[in-house]
Amino acid sequence: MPAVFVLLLLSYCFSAVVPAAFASDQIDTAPIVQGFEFEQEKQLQGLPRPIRSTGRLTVYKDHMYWIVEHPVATTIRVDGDGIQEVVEGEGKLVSGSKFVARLLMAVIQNDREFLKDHFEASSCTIEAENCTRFIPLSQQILDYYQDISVYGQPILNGIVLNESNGSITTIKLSPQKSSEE
Amino acid sequence: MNDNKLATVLVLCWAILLAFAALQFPNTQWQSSILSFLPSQEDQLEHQILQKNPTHQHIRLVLRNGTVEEYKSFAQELRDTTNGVDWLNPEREFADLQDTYRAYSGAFISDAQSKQLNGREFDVLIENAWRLLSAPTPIVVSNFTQDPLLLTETAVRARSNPYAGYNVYGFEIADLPPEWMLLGIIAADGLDRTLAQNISTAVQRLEEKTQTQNENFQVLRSGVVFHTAEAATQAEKEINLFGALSLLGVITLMWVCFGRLKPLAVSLGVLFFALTSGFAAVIAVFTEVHLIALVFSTTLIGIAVDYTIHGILAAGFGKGAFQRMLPHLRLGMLTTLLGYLAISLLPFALFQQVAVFIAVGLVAAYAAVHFGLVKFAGHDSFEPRNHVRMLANNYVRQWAKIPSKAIYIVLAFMALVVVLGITQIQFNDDVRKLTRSSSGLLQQELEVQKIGAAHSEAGQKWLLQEGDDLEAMLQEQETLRGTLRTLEYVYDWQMLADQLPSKERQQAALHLQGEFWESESGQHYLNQLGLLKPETSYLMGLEDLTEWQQQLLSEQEDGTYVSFIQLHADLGDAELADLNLPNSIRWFNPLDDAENALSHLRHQLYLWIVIALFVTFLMLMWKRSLSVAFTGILYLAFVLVAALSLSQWFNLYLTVFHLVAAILVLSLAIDYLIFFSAPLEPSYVQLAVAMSAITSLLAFGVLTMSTTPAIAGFGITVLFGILLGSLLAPLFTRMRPKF
Repeated sequence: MPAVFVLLLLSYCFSAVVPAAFASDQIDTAPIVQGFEFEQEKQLQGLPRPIRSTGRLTVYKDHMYWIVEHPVATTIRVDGDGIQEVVEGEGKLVSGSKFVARLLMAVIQNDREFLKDHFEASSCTIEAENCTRFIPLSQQILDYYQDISVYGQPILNGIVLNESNGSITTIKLSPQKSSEE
Repeated sequence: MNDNKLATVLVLCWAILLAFAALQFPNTQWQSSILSFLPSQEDQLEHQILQKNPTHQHIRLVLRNGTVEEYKSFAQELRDTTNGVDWLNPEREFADLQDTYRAYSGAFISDAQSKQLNGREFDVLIENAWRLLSAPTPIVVSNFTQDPLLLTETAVRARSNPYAGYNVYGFEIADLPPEWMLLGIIAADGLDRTLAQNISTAVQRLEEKTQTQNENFQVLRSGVVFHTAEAATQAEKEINLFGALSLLGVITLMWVCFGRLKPLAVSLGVLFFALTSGFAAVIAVFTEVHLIALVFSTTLIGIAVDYTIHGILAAGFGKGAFQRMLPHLRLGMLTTLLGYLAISLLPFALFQQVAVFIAVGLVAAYAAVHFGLVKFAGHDSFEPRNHVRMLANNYVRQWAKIPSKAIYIVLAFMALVVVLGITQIQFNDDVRKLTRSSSGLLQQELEVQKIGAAHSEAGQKWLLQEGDDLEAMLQEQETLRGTLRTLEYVYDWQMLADQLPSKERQQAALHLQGEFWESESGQHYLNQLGLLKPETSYLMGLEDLTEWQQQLLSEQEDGTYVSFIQLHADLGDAELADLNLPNSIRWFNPLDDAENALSHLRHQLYLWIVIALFVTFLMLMWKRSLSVAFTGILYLAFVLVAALSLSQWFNLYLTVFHLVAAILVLSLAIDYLIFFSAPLEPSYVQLAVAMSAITSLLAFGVLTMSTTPAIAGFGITVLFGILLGSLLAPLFTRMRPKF
């Protein structure tokens, strides 16, 4: 049985999709910590034009919803288990997304402990605005991001994700106008 | 050639054998698992696979109840101190995987995507691509020049990782509290004793070191190496313990019987000659030596002392008695040698080694008695103590007093036991019953196996595929995958085709994408992204897989391939038939196969026993008489059947090791039969047989204390066999010719 071991290894990264069912009313029951409207621009390596999208970001204590309204309507749940695309109340967990999910949560929620453990912070300037640049300490994050910059005090105004593959994602955030998300 | 010259030649042979063994010794590999020496599988391919057995090389460790810092320190120090182990760096492995998929993005797509392309469900595919493009997460594996639809990105993302993450050391299988799993693969065979003990000791030492700061820290071990190390330590202990106990028993017996140092010194001299010869022969003949074979071989102490006792007692009666005894001793040796010769022909390396050790040891013991005993010790100091001699005389006399009618009743009873016993005896060929690891280690093994088993409640089945055309094999796997997907009772599977699509499939995927780019939807999508029609992707090949992925496939010496498919499924016989496997794919169950091989071996042993009984019958008819021949066969059959029946009652089941023990019992019982039916002084014979039996009982009796069920079972059968054989053998004094 030479394959036992390698199958075990591969099963870690490539086992079947685990559907995570959660009711849509969960969105409403947990207390909202912060609500944003976002404009995202992704300058992807290999694409001549940036990809722009808009929508809402609803942040709860231990999870958040990234709700894209344009160009396609889609809801993404980010929590401790990873990133899940919500389709008809069911989430499909994205392979190997657990760490990226925790990273996004930490950046949005300004989880200083997590950021301190995994990044070296330095000051920067984006569009004449002061920002903090986080440079990953571990290869695990460097595989995805070269650095992450956040700006806006005391309320977060934007994030720039400088990916290791050359792509750049800029997310501009503004407080949500309505309290009912 | 006279005796002196022959003795000189034999001593020279012994010295040469020892010198040769000394040269061979550094190259000898020591093994300690019975399962590594299973008889040859009937299926040659499975046998070859098991001989190579790469699963023996795998190590899994789960670190528990500690902090991340403790795990890092443990893992780093383990890497630094365990030579010959390649510890997995998942971070590097995943980076390599991503590079592979990036290079071939577009060619690697899922079955569902293929179906959507084929069904021209372009809107679904485009919408999915936009979702990925709009998400804040990075695009990791697809590149836009080959795969603008991000099909490979979607296909890879659709497979989830149930664990928290990974790092350079291993997998983070839980966050709060943190638990890590470290994976390693060793360069040599996990059944190699030295390497296994080195690794096991290193893990143990590091665990204890970490526990000095955190007493709750725990390491769960999984892998053949740990069982090998434990078995080796146990076998070493048993060799020393059993050897010491046997030797102590022999020394005590010789002292009780003779009360002098000279017989004791002679016995120890013969024993030394026999043991060194047997051990050297094994080292000279086999490159891989099994420690359990040496445990079995400690029984040579008992058998070799038998010969010394026969020699010592006969010498005590004078030169004539000694010379008269020698042909019977030779005959006894010959029957025992034939027994071990038969065992050496069995396709079971463990017994071959035992047979070589004991056969050579016996010849050496006989030679020492024949040529050395009288020369070095003379005839004058071998008189046994009176009370010992009287005890032996009394027992023989009791048999002589039994009326003939009672003897017939005893014989009838023996015949009845034989008939009833044969119908009651049942063997169990389950190889797992031959060996047993400690409950602590087994518990750890089970816990590690449970971690990450998505469908642990379902049975784990293995399929084996062989072929010389990799492309055809992958296509068959893809067809099988289609079937598996339709079966409710198949929960999950792992196969090479999941990682490496067939070339045909990759070309089909690219062709379907080509049709999409020509369509209106495709053109529109490209315009939205500002892209031209994508370049044709290269096709992914076996060489593009990572080293770990390539382990899914094993290339045989003849250039053919063997691939494994793992299923988690509730499969009964009916479902197995439904699966309708292609010719190149079949079920792989090495345990079942080994069970069949053991069953085959058992039937060979039955045949051998029948032939041995028949040959003994002819020999007794020729050398003794027809009545001795008939009674002798009944006596031998009774001893065998009764010993096995008692063992079954004692051990609850019988294994092939009990049957091999029965062969040894047969050869010893033939010895007793030969001596008691020989025209020799009966009290001497009784004394010699009694002492031989007691030394053998000591030698084999200690084996019953073994923690290895196979060895303990072997010991118990020989114990009962010798006890019955030696107590009943004086029956033949009534039939012996006068001398």
